[in-house]
Amino acid sequence: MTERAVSLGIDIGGTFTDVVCVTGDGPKIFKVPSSRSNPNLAVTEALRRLQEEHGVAPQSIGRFVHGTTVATNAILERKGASVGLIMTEGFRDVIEIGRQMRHEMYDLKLKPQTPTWLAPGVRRVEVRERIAADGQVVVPIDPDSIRSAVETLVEQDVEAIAVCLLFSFLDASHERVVRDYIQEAYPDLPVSLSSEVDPAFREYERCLVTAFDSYVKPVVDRYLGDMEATLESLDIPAPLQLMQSRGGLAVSSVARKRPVRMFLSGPAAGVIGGLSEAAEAGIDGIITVDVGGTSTDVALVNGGAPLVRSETQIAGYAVRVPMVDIETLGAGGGSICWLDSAGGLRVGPQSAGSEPGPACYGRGGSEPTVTDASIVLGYVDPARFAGGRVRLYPERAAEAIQERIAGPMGLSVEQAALGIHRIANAQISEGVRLVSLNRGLDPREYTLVPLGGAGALHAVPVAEELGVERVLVPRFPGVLCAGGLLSAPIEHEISAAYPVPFEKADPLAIRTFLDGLDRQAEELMKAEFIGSLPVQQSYAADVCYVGQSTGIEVPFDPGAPEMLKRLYEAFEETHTRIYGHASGAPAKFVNLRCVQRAQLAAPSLSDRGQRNGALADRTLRKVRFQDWPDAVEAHVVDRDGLAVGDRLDGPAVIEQPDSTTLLPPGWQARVLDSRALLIERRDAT
Amino acid sequence: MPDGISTTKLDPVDYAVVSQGLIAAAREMGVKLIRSAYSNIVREASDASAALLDRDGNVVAQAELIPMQLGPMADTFRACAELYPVSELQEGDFYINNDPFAGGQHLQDVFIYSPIFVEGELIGFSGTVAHHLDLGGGNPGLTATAADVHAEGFIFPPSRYNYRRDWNGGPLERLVAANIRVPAQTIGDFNAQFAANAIGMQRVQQLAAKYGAGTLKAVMAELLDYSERRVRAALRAVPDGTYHGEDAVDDDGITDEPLVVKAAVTVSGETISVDFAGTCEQVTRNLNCPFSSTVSASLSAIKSVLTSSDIPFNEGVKRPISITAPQGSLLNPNYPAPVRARMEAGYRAFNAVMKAMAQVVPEKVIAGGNDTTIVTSISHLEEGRYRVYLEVFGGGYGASPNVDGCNAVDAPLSNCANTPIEATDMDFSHFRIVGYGLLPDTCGHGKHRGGLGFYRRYEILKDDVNFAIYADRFRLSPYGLFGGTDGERSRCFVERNGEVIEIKSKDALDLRKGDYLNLYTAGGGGYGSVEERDAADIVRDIRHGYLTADTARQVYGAEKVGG
Repeated sequence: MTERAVSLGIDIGGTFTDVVCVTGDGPKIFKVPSSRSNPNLAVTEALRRLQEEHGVAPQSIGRFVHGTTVATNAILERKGASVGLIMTEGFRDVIEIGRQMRHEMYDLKLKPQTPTWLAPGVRRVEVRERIAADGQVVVPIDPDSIRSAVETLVEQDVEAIAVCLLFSFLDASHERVVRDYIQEAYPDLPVSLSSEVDPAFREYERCLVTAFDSYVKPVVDRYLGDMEATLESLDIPAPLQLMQSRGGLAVSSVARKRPVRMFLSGPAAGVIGGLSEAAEAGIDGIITVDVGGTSTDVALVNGGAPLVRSETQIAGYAVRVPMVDIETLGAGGGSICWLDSAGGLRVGPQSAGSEPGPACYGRGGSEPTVTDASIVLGYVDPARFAGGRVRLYPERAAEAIQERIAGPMGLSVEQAALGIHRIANAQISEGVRLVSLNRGLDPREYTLVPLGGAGALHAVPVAEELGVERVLVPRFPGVLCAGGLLSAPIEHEISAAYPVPFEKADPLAIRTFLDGLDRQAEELMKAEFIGSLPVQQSYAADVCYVGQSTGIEVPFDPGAPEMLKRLYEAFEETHTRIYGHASGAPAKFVNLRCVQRAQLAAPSLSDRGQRNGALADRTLRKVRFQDWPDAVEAHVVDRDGLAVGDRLDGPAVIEQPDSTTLLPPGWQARVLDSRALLIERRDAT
Repeated sequence: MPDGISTTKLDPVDYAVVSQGLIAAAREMGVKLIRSAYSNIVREASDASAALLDRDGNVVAQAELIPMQLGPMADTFRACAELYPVSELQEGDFYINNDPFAGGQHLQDVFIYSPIFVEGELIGFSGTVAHHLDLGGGNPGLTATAADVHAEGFIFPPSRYNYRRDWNGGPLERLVAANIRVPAQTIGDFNAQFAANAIGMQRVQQLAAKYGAGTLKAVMAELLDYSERRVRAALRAVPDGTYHGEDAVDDDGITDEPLVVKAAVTVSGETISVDFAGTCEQVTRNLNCPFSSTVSASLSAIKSVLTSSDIPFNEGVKRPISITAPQGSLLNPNYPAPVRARMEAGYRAFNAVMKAMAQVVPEKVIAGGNDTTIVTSISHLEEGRYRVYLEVFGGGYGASPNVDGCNAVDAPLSNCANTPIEATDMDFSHFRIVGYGLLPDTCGHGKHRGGLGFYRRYEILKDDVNFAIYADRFRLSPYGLFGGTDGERSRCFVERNGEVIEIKSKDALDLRKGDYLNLYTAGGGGYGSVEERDAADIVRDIRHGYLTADTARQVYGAEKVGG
């Protein structure tokens, strides 16, 4: 291997920044603290440690892939730009009225139900123009109205402008005229056009995502500019690549153009990491279960690429950003366990967070959490938690459970702790059902892949609950997001509205339309440094019955014979799978989509040839399992010392610095060549 | 796990797991129903609901979509079960009912229940209701002048059918399709209901397979008991006594006489009763509110005022609550009264209960808002095919003791979304939407102001377009509370050749090419006196265009508002 072969993935999370660096002599894996005020600090700290502690010179880094929460945090902390919004005459309030719905059914004291803070009244202006539903220009755009609209916004000191004109997804020319004017008059003012951010129908949804794009643009720009400068000053030759919410990478110059697509890229990276581990183990069809501190992300991956959905929740608002299809549940390790007013045991969605944290942290948290239950049950060794870097107080965990749960319910502390785990596992199982059964897929045919520090504690019980036969625990589940960065493809997606009924559709016209999308995607791909790497193209159409409007994404080959017939059949199959019925009624296109992907060789995270002999060194600990009346003696094994081919029967607890795997009775774990753990029911092995 | 565990032995953790599973299943039904529906009223406006019921038809878990639709689930179910006993049901059977005089609301809301069998035993039902775009009747969309319920559309009396035999190309489906104007969409919406019921059925069967039918039944019973205990606990905290409230619907669409609704709310220990004695008699137009709608409206008011929103709304909530209304009154009409616009009187029942409770729990109520279902229909016959555009509008929300009312949002008994401008304009060519925005100054004022109403403006692109509306608050304003002023009223008018034609709240009109149709919706009332309003809030409202400087000076005084 050449010196340049070093690949670096850095994923910034809320508390810790995960670093995975793959060199010729195996992976270097560590965490550094995140800094909310200056996220760049964690990156420079990681680079410093790489050089000083691991001897990795910045000049040797050939790939630099980054996942960042900077866009998400700007929204959660309301630290984005002051956005001005330009709308079609007569429609300035679209963003405030939204869909006129309330979030809570029986809540009388209503605050604004839409993110009016993105662009309050004084920063919303109109231009005189109108394009009709058939794309005809009804009112040509009036240059005077542009001038006065922009001047009004500039007087309000806006830092970015979002433009969302009606039917711009059919004809973007009016939006472009507005941008040309702004760029001419105020070249430093960033502009987001709805026809570029999200060219699809439904004006509120398009306006919202465009406004969010504007809101984060200056923040993301500044952040990436700083990071590019850091890389340059350190002589790092690698281009800066960023994870996008769809699960693909884009080089920083492209990512900056559509910053809204960097939302929630962390969970997407985790799914990609799980996918890569599964591929290495020769497994297709996985459900990733990422158990974090406050929530759990569940995703289903079939056929090598994650499902992508067109909308996601950001700060409580549904925003149309394409994103790896992940269900997020309000239960994680830090979730607070409580009794409702009828004495019913509940877990989450409130979380103890990292401050004060679970009761066992001894930082003043008095409410019991799932982590506290794990301590009481013997799943987690207080002395080895997080590699022994965090001191725990097991007695505080027991006290909190006794006082708040076990006492009032008349249960023992252990029974209460088991109940907490059962409820948390039931909630996670619910998430697994949502991503599988909800789409007509049977979870029992899939392999669960736990990630996050606590994923492997819950994975086997969840598999038991669902009748799933196999669980694959990655070698480093706790830092899999950073690992996923290195195995993600470079990907560019372009979609555009194509409101044409099947009966009027012409395969040649569709091909021509897709050619246009291809050219745009190629344009983006050109900015990537992929050399001679082959680029795969794939196409999909959002299709629905005439009369419906929620399209279903159906992949298709535009060059296939009888393309329309095949596509229609595939659509009906998918509709039946998801909704349980298909009508044979006329269908129509909603959007067409082109995806270009270039897959770089994923470096392996396995660490062959390290020390073995963990099975011989195992110890015993009292652990409690579901459906077992008493504590049982479980083997405690050090994961780092497991050799390829080692087998272990439950009951056991397998420990490693970034995670703990729970192996209940009746299950067997086996170390694969990739050093991932494959856990199966003993009767199945 | 073995079968036959009794209620008293229910494991608390089993209960937590299974009850959350039931609620999740109901929610999933709701999502499926909306996403696979055909008509814009269901798929865009979400005018549909879903629930799981026990064997006796008690709602145990529901998708919280439309408050008004979930109250009558049990009543429409029981009307079916009385005629076709539960014990005689076979797999694949279903109950169907939309009869306003047999537990239903208006005809457009059709309730369908599918039995759930576990190993041959019937353990519950999955049920859905959707507002159907057109079920026949005198006019496409809605019939403002219907003389009786028969002129309002197709009645499904409480009945039992079999899906395989009677739907799916069978005789019932053909009968329905032949009696409605847009069968492709309407039958598609019915299919979405059946599909959602099937999802609920599957999920309950999975739970039963894992935990046993006995546990499932015990959990259902406990869910009801739990909600009941929570409501009783909330009622104990309210001082005993009888409190009175009154409001009125503008008029019946014929005369100018207000239709008065009176409520006497009696709290006694841990029970509460509402009596609507003194409410006006039923009317000849479609404003009559079937009793089950009256019950839903009152329950929603009581639940949202007295209890926190985490109490699951199920049949248990109803147990400590009793509601009565005189037979033959606006709130309990006799057959064959037309009932299409029942929400207007339903809202006044809600308002009357709210005003009564304002006297005893002032910190928990809100001022009057738009509180009206504004339904408009713009239809056109094109080449032998009806094009029916139906939309439901919200308006300003009432102010509360803590916050200003929300601008432009649907009213408390409903939760319908608007249809996107772009979706509407792509679907219909007989009109174009040319304006949609907030209406400054339409709020009531006070320590907290009401929410703003909004306007909609349509350009009519063809001749012979039929417009119909039912609405309210055109004449009587949304009320302020505790010194807050009233909100602005709604208005609808057509501009034709420079002339303005005012449209009444219950009206219909033929439109011509070149007309402009305008709808203004009402603003919410204020809460608390204007003297208590924070000056910074006034300045903010002026800055963002919610309030004009002139109005602000008039209402709050020049010294507070400044120059």
